[in-house]
Amino acid sequence: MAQLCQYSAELQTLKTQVVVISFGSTFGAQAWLDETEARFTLLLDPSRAAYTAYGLEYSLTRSWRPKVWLEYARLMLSGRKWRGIQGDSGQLGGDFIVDSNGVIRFAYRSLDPTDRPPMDDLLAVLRKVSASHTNA
Amino acid sequence: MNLVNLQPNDIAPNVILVSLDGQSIPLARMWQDGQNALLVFLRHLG
Repeated sequence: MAQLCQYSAELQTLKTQVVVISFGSTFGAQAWLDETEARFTLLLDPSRAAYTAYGLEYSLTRSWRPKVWLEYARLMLSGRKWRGIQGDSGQLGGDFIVDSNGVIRFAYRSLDPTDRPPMDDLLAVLRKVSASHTNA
Repeated sequence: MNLVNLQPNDIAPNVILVSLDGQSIPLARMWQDGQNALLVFLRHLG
């Protein structure tokens, strides 16, 4: 998320709205926003209808593999506050780019909670989408 | 359980979500008016 914040000016130039979707509580989501200082739209999905519609996986085994514990340790050593596990820790996430016509241009489903697409990959797709709209 | 396997070029599903102030928001509103959307589905690490 820190990386996304870092690129917020470029994302704006690429006419891209970042939408963060969480299945957690309103309280947890607000605490997360306060902690990360992210200025993105945050929407809640308590029934996980969107997680299901976008085919995001569920795995307690992969959610708690050793590399995830190590990542938690690294985050806490870097000063992140432990707020406990919010909601169902087996639910995995993902990242999707949807263009202004409602067409998916990039789909990435996380294999575990540490697995995220490289920022360079996201920006490359968005630049391509932006160029195709400019040339249309 | 069979998961949906959305791929690039598929139409993005529109789902009703909830804003922090409790309003129902269609997800499709996020990619209107010439705007693209980067949807970030959180996991417990954020």
